[in-house]
Amino acid sequence: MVCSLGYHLNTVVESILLNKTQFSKVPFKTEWFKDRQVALVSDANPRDIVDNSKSLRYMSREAQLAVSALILCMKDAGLYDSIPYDQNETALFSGTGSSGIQLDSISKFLSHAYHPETGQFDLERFGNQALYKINPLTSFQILPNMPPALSAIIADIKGANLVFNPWEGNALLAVYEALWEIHSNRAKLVFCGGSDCKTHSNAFITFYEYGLLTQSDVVMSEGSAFLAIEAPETGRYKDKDIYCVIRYMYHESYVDSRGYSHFHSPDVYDEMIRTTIMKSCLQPMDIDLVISSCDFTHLHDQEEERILKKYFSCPMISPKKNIGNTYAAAGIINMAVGAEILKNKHKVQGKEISRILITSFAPGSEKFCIILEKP
Amino acid sequence: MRRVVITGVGVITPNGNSFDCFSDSLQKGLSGLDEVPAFKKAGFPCYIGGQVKHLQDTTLQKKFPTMSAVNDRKVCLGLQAFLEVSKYLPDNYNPCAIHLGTSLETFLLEKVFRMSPYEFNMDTYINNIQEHGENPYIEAPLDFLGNLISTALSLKGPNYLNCSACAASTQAIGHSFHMIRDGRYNMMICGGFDSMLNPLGIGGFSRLGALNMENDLKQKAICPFDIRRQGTILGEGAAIFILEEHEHALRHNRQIFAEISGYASTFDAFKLSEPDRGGKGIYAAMKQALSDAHLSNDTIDYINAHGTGTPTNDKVETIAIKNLFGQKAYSIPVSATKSMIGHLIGASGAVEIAAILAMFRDHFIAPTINLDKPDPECDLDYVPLTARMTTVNTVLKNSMGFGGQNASIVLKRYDPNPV
Repeated sequence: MVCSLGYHLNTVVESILLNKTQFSKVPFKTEWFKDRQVALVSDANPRDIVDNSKSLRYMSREAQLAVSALILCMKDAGLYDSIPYDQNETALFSGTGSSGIQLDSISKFLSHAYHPETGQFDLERFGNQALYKINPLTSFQILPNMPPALSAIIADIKGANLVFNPWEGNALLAVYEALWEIHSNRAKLVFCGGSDCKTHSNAFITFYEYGLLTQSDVVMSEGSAFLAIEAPETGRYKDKDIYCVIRYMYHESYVDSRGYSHFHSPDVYDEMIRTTIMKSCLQPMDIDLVISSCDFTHLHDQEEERILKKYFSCPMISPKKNIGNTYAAAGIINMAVGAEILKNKHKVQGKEISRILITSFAPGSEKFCIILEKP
Repeated sequence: MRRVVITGVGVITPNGNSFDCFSDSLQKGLSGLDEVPAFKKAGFPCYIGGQVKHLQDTTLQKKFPTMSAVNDRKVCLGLQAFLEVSKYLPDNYNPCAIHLGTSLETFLLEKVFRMSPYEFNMDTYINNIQEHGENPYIEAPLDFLGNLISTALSLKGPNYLNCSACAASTQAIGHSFHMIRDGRYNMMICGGFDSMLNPLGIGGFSRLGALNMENDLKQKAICPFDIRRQGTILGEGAAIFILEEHEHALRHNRQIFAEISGYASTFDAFKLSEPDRGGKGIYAAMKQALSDAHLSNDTIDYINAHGTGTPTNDKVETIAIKNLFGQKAYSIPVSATKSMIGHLIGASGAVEIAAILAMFRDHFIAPTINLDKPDPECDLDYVPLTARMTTVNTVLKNSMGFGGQNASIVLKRYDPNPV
């Protein structure tokens, strides 16, 4: 995992549990958003992680983060340059964010794309001048399949693949589909993850237009996490230490025709939590920790907290409060945080944790409730 | 094992605005490519494209009012294809999932300068947004079309959006096939939609050197497997399908266009901008798709190639086909639909699967037009120039994505009582 609090999972989780943050001012010139904060990955330099750092020049910031997170995941799982595994039977399912053209990176080209008198877009000037200012590498950087495609090249993964886009829930589909891929014996090992970079100017404009920046205190962020998922009976980890078991993953879809910024009826989330507990054959008291999908929208957070408190009296954390909202990567990062808490026995409010419920009710149509537990 | 059949198709392409028109054009070997006057006038290095004609924007706006939130050509194309396929929807279609494929967001350059004239200024832009009220998004999220369809049908199922470049829609359809075969759904809506005929689309691909800049060649500018091929030509379009579990389709007395029997996806894990020279990635995808379909190599009687008309791609795909099928490769017809419609990027796989359905229904093999001088290194039977009136029963379709993502899917003529 790579996020604004670093790339050592153990220390990141410790920081989250100590409620640390590392936010800074927006990294571009703006009066409109000058009071907003961002969570930049500043202590985790992809060049320290990726062996072939020359290849980084082809990559967008998001792709750099994804490649870094995947390599860290593979190293952690003992699968990077050490233990041979069947590349053809290894799948890579991931979620990426809306790529966005970073306006700063195309400012030179924009300067040659408007009519000198009207200031409006001028196709002829674009064709004759601006076009030749486009860096060919930009094409590699804006395609939203590039984070996993580059990850596969660097990590030499050759099996099945899908790239979901662009929300938190779409990236969690990567995990959901990984479980089906393993269940159906189409893959033995699946790396699944998500990546996003929402700290640049175009992300702010886009999310402002979606209505996601107007009424909330969201800290736009960047990061990536990958998980290695295997079936216990077929996986290499039969006799080894594992992070956690995915006991249950409940998936529902709610498309809201009013747009992305509308909060669904609290009943929807109430029903999802109730069903998750019931279908996993557990009681609310069996849950030791809740990792919530808090998205800094006042209404959403209050309602989610109210519903969660109706069912659970255990501690609740929201990593987004510490590392900002990494959007497409946020759900996967929450899963990685949960997995680390279970594996390395981090105590939360002095208590050891055996079972965690993770919610993902963020913008986008795909919603999840996940239960992780100690093996 | 559950069987999966296709029970609805809607398609819009540069050479046909409906499934029937598309089939007719394919049989006649009609090209949908032409000069794009605006790009020619603006002096673009490549101004040949596969543009969809007579798109009914106003009709679409009436049927889908919320599409005003986007000014995105590919969403309009997707909705047009959806309108055609929706004729095949049964009365009761829930629960039904959506899985669509496309490439990337369309960035509205016109809007950038409308809201911030001259040198771009973010604050001016936001202030003008505030002042002018409702406007289309500067770039709509990729799941927007799925949301519109889901809302229109009140679907109770997920909205998947796969964005693996040129392999996106083949993967979306293949994965939908697996979702039904695994017992997760009885019905799915899947396909692909895309348009690269915008300044940044054409501009970006030109700068990458992927397009043939010889505009004087006009419709002949894309010539897959020909010795003169120098690059691809971009196009636009969409194809959307209804997939159903076989017994479910029979129970509801549905028209069956074809059966999907196998699918696989792979990574080249080679280089970003070019496929593995030995074609190992697409070879593995074809091999695994056949295995997934429980079919041997000798059952395939036609291959619909990715066939982009770029020097490397066509050669690599040919090598992979020869490596998989051996001597039999020379007797399997292989053709490139892109020779008639251009490269539809995220929609290419879906539209080419619609072409296969047309070939099943109307008993022909679509040609590779513009193949006048075959490349000696591309020495298979590419069905040059004219369609072949014959019946194909088992077809393999390839897609190879920018970044090294490959997909192969196996389609069969529908047989109610297979051996």
